[in-house]
Amino acid sequence: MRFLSYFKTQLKRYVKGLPLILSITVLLLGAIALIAYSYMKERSESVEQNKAKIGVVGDLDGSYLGIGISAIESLDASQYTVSFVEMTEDEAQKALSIGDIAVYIIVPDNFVDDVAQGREVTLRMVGRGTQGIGGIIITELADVISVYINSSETAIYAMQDYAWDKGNTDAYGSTADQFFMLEANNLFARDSALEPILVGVGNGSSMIGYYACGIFLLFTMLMGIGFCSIFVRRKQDVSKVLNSQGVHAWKQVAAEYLCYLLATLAIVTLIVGAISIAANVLDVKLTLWAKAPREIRWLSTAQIIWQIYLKWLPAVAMVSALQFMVYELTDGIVSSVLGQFLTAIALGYVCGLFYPISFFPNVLQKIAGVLPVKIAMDYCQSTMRWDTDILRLVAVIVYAALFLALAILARRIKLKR
Amino acid sequence: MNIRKWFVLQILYFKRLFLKKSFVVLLCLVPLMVLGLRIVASEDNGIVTILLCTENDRDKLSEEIVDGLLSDDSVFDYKYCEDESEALAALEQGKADAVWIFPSDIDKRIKKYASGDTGVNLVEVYEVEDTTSLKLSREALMAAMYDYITYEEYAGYVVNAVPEGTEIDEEELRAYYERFRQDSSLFEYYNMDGTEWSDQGGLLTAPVRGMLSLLILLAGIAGVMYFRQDKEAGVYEYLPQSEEWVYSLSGQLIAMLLLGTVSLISLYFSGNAISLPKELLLMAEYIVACALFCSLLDRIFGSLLLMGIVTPFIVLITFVMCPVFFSLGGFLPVKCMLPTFYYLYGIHDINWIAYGGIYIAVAVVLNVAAELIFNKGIRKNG
Repeated sequence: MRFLSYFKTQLKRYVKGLPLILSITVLLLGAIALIAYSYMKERSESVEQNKAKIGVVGDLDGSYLGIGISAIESLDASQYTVSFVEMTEDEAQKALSIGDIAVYIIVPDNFVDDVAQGREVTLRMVGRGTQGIGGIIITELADVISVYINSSETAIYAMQDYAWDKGNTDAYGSTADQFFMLEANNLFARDSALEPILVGVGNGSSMIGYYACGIFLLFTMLMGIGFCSIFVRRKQDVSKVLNSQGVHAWKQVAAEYLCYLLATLAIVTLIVGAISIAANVLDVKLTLWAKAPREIRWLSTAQIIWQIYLKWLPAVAMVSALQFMVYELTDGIVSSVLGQFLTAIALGYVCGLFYPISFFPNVLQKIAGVLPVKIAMDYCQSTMRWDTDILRLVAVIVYAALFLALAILARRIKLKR
Repeated sequence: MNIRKWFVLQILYFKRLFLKKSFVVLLCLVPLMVLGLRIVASEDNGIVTILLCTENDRDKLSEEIVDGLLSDDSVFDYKYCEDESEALAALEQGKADAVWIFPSDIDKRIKKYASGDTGVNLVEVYEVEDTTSLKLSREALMAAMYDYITYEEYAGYVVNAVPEGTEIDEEELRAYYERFRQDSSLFEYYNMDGTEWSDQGGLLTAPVRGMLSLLILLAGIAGVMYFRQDKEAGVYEYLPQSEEWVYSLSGQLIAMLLLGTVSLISLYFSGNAISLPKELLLMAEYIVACALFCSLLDRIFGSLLLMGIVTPFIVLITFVMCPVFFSLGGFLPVKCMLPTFYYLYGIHDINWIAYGGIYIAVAVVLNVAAELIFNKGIRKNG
């Protein structure tokens, strides 16, 4: 009975703040959705705008650099990530400064002559550091361009000199032009020479599906910070009095956790509801899978979203238990907020919520494999492909129980002080 | 408030934070976590795992290309797999992202392709799905074979480019080609401030700076919340209301200074740090900018509950708008409102350090205006 009345008291605390929390959550999400929608709309109108821009400063005419760049641009224009824009150095500096371009390349004035005379030439690529994955992809592309240009040049100069030395007086004229055409045609046709066979298996999720799981879990974890005002107002003395009256540590933790979980569910459900309505109204086609499961064939977009969400509830419960435990282990508002954030960001990063886990070294992948957030992520992905991983579901439940047990232990220690 | 009183206040805040064991543990945890990440980052890793197989392991050309890829310092994690079926099984189990099988007649295929018959399939490529990273990996594969292709283009073409009856010696042909060979990269990488791109930390530790900067911002927000909690508990009841902003700012500054120090140490552990004077300048500017930003938030939202609700959103917006993990184009006006943007852009572009100064000046004006409008009004009415 005392547990029930304590639960009701706690629930009242949440209910008191919940309308405000919900309304501000809706307002902020609405604003974010509006910005995201206008951004997507603006971007989708132009394929070019979808790509990371690379500025090119200098004259490309008559150089093989132009060919290398065109070759890169020719690769599956619908999806590839870079485009090249010619500009002056001033324009390039300004554009780079405000993030309109990712990097710019400076082609020196005597570039063509130097190359023609076989001198070693380098081009300056100016950016803002490697900038994580984006910068790393750009340097990889630059290496590819380097190989294309160097090898093409080597072949054409060797051909010209060889043909000339053997008595072809037109070696530097139409003979070279025809050879250049052959090189260019072969280079532009390279996509067909490496046509991939898509197996469409792996973990079954598309990149969008993967990030949908990641963002969901990250948001649920960050939501923990939103409840700090309720957690930091807990009074130690009240807990002690309740303990003496039979509401022991485990009962206190159970009641508080249930209320916290219900409040989190209220917010997350509201957001999922808004997303499913918007998806239905805008007739969004979900592309969460590498190969869509058969079971979704007759379901509407909203039905799919709700079915997936309902299966994700154990993961929400586990993440909430984790955040609850962090609140129990930290004291004071600064430690609590930073603890929540550090847990979310560190676990989120290591468990692949930001980058796919395959980006990381094997050791880290193995460590992540036993961490709660990675298990929750794998579980969510399995449910998304209608193939619920029971083993991971059990692991999620065990982790949730473990976090609550730790929270109870921390509470007992506090009560004994 | 005089300097002495202010100094005593700082010490009190400092002491108060350090009395919380969990805060001390968190402070120690940050550099340790970054150090752990750095150690793990030294292991081989890549954005995708690609298994390389050869149909005939005695084929010299395939072996050369495979060896070249395996020794390549690239963003792809190449692994040699002796058995094709084993490699394809690994792909199906999600242990790899792609499998490349080099055929035993690759030399013939390359010759055919070089002659202009571009319909020929050079390497059998199996992928889980057609992602951008895997498209890029195919470019890297083509680049690995491209020198062989251009040589065959040259060797095949030159037969028709020399006068009829000319005897072609393979060694001589190779010597001409080797004379023009260039192996060095065409590109040199620089930052806007003229320093060279540093890739010390690598892919794994690249977002560390962004994450630490968010932690500092959050310390500022937590400082504001601490002040609000105290205020609601009546701690400042007997102190002059006109000095409240000093208490609020002091709480934030102390928390951010501590986190800032820890972040600087962590940055050196991660291998992403630049010169110390510049790091210190950037950090000092960032802490001041964050303090003013948090003070403005405090004036706008003014309660512990509201601050708690908006914090996850501020964190999410900063994540997306500032180059923590990736760089999102556009939204410059929104980005300019966030102090983290100036800090992260200022690392290699001195202009943004100057713009950060302007941000601080504008934030001071806004804070003063808010103080005059809200608090004076409240005091008058009160």
